[in-house]
Amino acid sequence: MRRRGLSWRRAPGRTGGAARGRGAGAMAALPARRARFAILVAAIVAGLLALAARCAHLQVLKEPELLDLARSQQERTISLDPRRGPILDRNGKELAVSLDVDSIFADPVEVGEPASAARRLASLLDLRVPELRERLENDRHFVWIKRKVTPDVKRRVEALGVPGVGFARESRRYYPKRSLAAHLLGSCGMDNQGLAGLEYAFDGAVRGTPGRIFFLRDGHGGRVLERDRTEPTAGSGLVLTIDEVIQYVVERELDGVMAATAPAGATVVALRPRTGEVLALASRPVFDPNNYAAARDEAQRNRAVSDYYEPGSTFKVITAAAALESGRVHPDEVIWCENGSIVVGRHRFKEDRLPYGNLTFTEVLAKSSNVGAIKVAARLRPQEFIGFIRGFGFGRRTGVELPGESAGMLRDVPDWSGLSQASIAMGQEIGATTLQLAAALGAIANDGVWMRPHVVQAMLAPDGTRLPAGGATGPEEGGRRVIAAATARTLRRMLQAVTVDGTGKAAALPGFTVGGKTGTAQKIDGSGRYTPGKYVSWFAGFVPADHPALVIVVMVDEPKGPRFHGGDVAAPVFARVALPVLQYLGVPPDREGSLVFDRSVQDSLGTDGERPHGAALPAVRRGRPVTRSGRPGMPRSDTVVAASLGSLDPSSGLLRRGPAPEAAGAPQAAGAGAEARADGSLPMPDLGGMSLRQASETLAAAGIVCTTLRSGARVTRQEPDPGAQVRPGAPCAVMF
Amino acid sequence: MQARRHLDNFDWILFFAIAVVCAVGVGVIYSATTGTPMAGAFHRQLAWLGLGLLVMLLAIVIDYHTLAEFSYVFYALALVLLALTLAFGRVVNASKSWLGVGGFQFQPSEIAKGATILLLAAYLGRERAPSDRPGLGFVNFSSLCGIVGLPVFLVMMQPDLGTAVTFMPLLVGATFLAGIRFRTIVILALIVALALPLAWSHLKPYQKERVKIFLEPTRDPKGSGYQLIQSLIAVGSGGLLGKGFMAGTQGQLQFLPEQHTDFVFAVLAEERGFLGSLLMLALYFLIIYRCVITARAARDGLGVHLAMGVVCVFACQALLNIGVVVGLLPTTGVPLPLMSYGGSSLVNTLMSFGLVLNVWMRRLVN
Repeated sequence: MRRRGLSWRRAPGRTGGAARGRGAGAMAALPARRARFAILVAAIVAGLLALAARCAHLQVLKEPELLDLARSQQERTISLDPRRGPILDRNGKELAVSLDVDSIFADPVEVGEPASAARRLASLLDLRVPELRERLENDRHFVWIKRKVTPDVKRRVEALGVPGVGFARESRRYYPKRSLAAHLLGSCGMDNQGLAGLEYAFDGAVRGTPGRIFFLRDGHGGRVLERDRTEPTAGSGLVLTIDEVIQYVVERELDGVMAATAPAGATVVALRPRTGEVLALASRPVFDPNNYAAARDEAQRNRAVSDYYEPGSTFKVITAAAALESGRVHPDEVIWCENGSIVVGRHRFKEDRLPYGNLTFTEVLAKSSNVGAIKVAARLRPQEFIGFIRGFGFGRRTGVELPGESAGMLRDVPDWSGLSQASIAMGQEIGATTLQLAAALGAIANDGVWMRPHVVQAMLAPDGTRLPAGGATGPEEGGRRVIAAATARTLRRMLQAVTVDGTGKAAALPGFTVGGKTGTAQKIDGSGRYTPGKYVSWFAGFVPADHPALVIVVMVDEPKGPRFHGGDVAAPVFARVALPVLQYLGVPPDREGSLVFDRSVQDSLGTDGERPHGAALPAVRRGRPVTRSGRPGMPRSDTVVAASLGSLDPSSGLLRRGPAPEAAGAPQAAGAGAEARADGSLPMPDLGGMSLRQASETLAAAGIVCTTLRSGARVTRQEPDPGAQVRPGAPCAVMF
Repeated sequence: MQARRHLDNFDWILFFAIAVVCAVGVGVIYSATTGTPMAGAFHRQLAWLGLGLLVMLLAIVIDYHTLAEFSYVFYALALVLLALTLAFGRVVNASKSWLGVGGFQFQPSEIAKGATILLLAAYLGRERAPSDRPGLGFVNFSSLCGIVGLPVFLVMMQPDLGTAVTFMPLLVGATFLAGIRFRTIVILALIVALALPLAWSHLKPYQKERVKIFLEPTRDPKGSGYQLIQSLIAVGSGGLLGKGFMAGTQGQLQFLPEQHTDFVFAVLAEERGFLGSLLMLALYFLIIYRCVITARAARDGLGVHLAMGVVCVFACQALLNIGVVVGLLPTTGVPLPLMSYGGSSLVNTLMSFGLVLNVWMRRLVN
């Protein structure tokens, strides 16, 4: 109070004196000053308005743009790789799996000394120092150093303790069977994207949906706040129609023919004619899908579906089917084969080997007479002929699920020359893939109904439920009748003659009737002329001939050496594949027969030493050849069967299964609980009392390819005894 | 009785406008610093606010004439503090602008600002002979320059160009208001024309850089231009309604530099949007407007110049700060009065408004 009073009293006396004299309010008497006030206030207001306008500009007009800028610097998403679905064979054996592996990354800002860090890391990781150093000098916060390293490398890098180096879990595609079924499976890239084969064709389903972590980054670049996280969804698995064991046998024999005849390539397709299920499909040269980048272009080609070749004489099967179905010929009709050559237009077509005189139509096929085929084909109208050819699936894709399928080559009738019908009758002027030919032969084996070949049986949802493979390629799709069932049966009987006393004797099997056709096509060079000395050898066959369970087509491209005919090169491969596979499948033999192979089968493959991996030879050869009456002391009433434990290639991973933990559904292996020994020997299962089928399944489940079993009653004796250690490949005998 | 009358004449509008701005400021500081190493700044700001209100109360209750009487003393004291700062000050951001007493630190330059306003008002509001011609003569003007120039010089020695600049509106506003003779303007123009190139050459490299960057902000996106871009992103991404309290990502993620001090308005604009910005500008306008009304109503020259001195400094600082935040002006490092974190500035500003409230309360002659 006092203080305020004092100041109040004092105020007017001093500074305020003059103002007071001018009356209330210092401004009243000064209009000029009032104007200045106005100007000052106006200036300030103008300033504030400018700010408001600027705010409106930034916050209303430029908001979207600036918001984008804000997001781009604040928000980060990391994509989380989904795990690819596995690829399994028809029995659930894993052909392609995804494993968790470590990848090494660094935050260059935290690394500190890029030079020394690069030096220390580079030597360990097999990287180049300058490149690594450059990456570590980056001013970003994340760089990969090396992706998908082994646990051992990870441990060693961890031990280095370089600051700023971290590890991320990634999934890596792994093909445990290495090159087995490589062309079917294809491969994946570093980011788990399918690059080839089924991995590529089904990438959308198999890859899964990536997850993501959405987080906010702060202004200093380091601290992050995780805002949102979507877990990746694993991809679907694929269940193939392929059987790992059959695929293995096929590839073993392909390797055999590659070693023996050094061709440019070779393919085998094995399918089940009744359904079109492909049981095995393989090509050579091959690659290791675990190291796809190192594969040569040549090796990457899936020749069985992507490349077409002239089918040569194998196509006479189609010519015969067309002629029989349209009633223009009878199997026993005698055809005058002109003693070796026939002139069509201005061209003279000759026989490949011997000239023939009169042959029945069956003999025309058996001996593969070009003249006979041309003459019979000439009875067909071109449109009629091409109708059958198309009906058997030539000239268009089969629709198999594999990428890069070729439609082959088939000219329309208007584009035919005067020679075309004759050429096509003997498999020239037409191109077919191995798969096309297998499907066509499948139609004959399937009583005239063409089934679309397919390799995918079902999709496997991540939770394990089976889904139909979907699409137009589904196995459910009904077949297409091409010829009458009776015609097909007639033709099958005729084709049996090929392996009995025709060009395809090397394809004959003990215990089984085989039908088929050989083919030897001269290759065409770049200018469209046939090149002497370069051939494609074919054998297309089915077995057993009466009720075919198996169609196998073998193609060998440019075999080297004196033998190049399909009957010499391809037919033996058919036999080597077919026999163990029939036994594995438990197909009962349909004829009595010698258990010893025709000598030609063995001869055609050269010496043992050329066999890769030391893989087991066709089992019969290692097994003790025993004829029906060959062993004294054996009761005559018993059928003695020689079998062999085919050692499976250890590198394929098949052997490690031991007595089949996966084969839970199979009849229990007698040696259950026994383990495969370190030296690779296996316990011999007890086969006592088993039927043929049970015995062969038991042996197969144990990882043993047993080659010959003779249908009798039940197993009465076996050698070695149950439980004995059996070295892979050692002979064993089972008595019924 | 007098107290009662003074209370009746108190400018509650101005007081509440100030209080609201301060409260918003504390809120924004809370939002901007939570989760950062500066967390807790709002506690200190609240303490400073308390102290500032106390000083404000003193500046209200003591008759401004009495204060004006001692203005020489305050002014001298401020100069001594500035000199001491140059001698013993703590170096922050390459300038010596902080003086510590015990654990207590403050910026003498802010105190000097208040003292200069007071002395300037006392000088201009002094009784003058009737024979004096209106407007400022060269001698008067030189005195003004001297009064402002002395602390400015000391502040520039620190060197703290930003704070030094905030003294200037005092000189310009006072000169404009008092009027200046034509001859003085001519002389002045000549001096400025000669001094400008000289001054440019004496600017520190970082100061030159600031001017250049203002002219071309993208030329150095990670350096000083970075601040500007981040500020623009913060303001602009706020949009019409803002991202909400504590949800301004630019501020929360510390992309904004100095988000609780010089760029506090950007945090507000980001979290409260265009409407918030507009409201805040309106509050600043209200404060300025009430001060101008006070000046117009003041009963003597001292009151007029006191109120106008305060309003010039306050308005210029606010315009300068927000102008920087929205990218209309080059980066200067001027805090936003009443809102930015910083005790010295807050206390000085509240003290200044205490003087204005004082003038209003005592506008009526008995």
